[in-house]
Amino acid sequence: MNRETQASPTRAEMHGGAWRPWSGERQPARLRAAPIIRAGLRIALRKKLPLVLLFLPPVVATIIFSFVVYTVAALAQGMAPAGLGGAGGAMGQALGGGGGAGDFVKQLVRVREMIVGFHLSTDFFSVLLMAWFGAGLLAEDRKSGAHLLYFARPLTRFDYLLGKFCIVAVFGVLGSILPGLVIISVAVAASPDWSFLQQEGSLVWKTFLFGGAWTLVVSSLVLAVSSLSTRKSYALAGVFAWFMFSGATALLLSRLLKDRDWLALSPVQCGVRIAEDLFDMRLGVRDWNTPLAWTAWGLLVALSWAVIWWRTRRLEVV
Amino acid sequence: MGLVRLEGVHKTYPRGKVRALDGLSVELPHGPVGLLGPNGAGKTTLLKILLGLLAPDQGVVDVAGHSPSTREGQLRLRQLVGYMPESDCLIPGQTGVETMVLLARLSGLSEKDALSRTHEVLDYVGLEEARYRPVEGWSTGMKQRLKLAQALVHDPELVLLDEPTNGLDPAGRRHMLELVADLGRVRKKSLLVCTHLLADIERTCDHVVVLSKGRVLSSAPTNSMIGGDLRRVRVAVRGDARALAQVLERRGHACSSLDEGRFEVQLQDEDADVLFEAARDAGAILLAVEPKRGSLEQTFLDALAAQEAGA
Repeated sequence: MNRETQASPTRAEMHGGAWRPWSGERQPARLRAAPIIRAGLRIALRKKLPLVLLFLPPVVATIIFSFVVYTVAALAQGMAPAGLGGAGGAMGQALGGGGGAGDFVKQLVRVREMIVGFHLSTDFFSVLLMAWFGAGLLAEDRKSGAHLLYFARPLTRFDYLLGKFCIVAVFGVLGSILPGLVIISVAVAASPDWSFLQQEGSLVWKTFLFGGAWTLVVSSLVLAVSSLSTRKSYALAGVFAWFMFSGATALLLSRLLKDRDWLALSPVQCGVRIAEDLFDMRLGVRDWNTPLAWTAWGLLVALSWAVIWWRTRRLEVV
Repeated sequence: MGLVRLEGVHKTYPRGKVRALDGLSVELPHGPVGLLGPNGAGKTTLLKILLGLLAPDQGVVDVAGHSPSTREGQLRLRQLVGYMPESDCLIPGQTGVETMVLLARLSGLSEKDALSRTHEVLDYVGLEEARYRPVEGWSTGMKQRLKLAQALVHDPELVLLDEPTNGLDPAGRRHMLELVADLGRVRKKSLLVCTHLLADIERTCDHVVVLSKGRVLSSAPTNSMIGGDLRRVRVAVRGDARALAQVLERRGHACSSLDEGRFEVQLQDEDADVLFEAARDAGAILLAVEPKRGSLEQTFLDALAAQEAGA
């Protein structure tokens, strides 16, 4: 919108500041979530100690798993890094390389199993990341009254929530998808003639699917708890309480009633169930009802967003 | 036509069934307007309705040609309105510049405009030094000025200021009032200053709307409200003030003594010559004659009393 511009700015009395009318043009309401995402990430990345403490374990785990995957892939080709004492060394034996070249396909399957195991173990860290960086997003806005500043702008609730969700989701992606992709890349690079990619290429999209779904579930839950809380600390406690309580209840009911479907009450157990089905893992007795696990995740996401929508309406209309 | 028009606006909060606005109708002119009322009069509710943050139960609301009753209207008018909330509402973890840039971007400014405009407005409100520090460490006065700055960053048509001097020390209050007066009277921006401090309105606004119990008690230019009665004058006398008062009383002008050598006279008309004639006859010298100025406070209290009597 063009405005009449003032020829020379004048001064207020107590200070040297000059008032200049703005003569620019307002942009149409597109991607209003983008500034919220940038601002949220900037705030999150400002505090170095939580970043180091929360990212260190997944980074270390990624490096170790990458090394192990590289070694197993090398052993599958009948080679072993010299540092391990060769294929016949102690580490080589432990990794199944003692029999010489070994069964190549079998080794690839082992690599896949390692990657899935890695996924499940890093999901714990991704929960920590998403909870820490997401718990305060709605709670702190409510506590500080910042929602008045947001919603006094031409900002829809959808844009606001999309911005907040993306902030949490970035940490979810960093904690659950990126490490998996790094390890897959190592396995691909270590395998001869891209054989890992040819044999187990579906791991890439499955990693995206599983990591994305896990990020969606946890991010939604974190934001829902945050929207119900007045402080970040309460929201953090609420998220961990949810995971612990739902896990304990699911285990208790499944054992008391001797029905493993009750495990669907726990999002973590659902994750294990879905990962094993998605990555075609058949370890132990796993008579999972996978559609039930997906349904439980879906219901949790729907419930979380219903809560968020309801609570942010109360933020918007004070 | 006024910038803001409300007709028969009702708002009742379901929790506690508090009737915040009770058929409020008013038209606000361009320029600085004061919204005056005791606590609980419905001032903040009115501001939130004007922004579309609250939906009225009933009635017509029009802000610069847009109705906040519809979603589209809310988004359009929020581009044209700046809002300085009463509460301490800054975004934690951000510096002043970051807060301003974020809110400017959300108002539709480009990245470049947002940054340049941020620095211009922060300079204007006197936040030159602190702008790169996190807002948590700022003083109340600085936070208030940042809240004002964010309301101005997109150069809105109408600025809603909710208790702008809330919690400020005398120096901070003076600074804030100067800024508000500068914006309204020098820059000719349309402001709606919501406060219960009458002196703030007198210093910054050209028009006053008095609210009580969700209704408009009066809406008039500030000057007409504080103009006072020209027939009531204060007189300072050298000589026998008592004799002068007696002369005036005999001629039908009621007098009331203030202290030695000074008293008030209720003249029968606005012609002050009678005072000089009486002084000559009483052998006294008039040192000062000034009309007793009315106050916004008196007008406000009179309006409240009239409402109570009517109720």
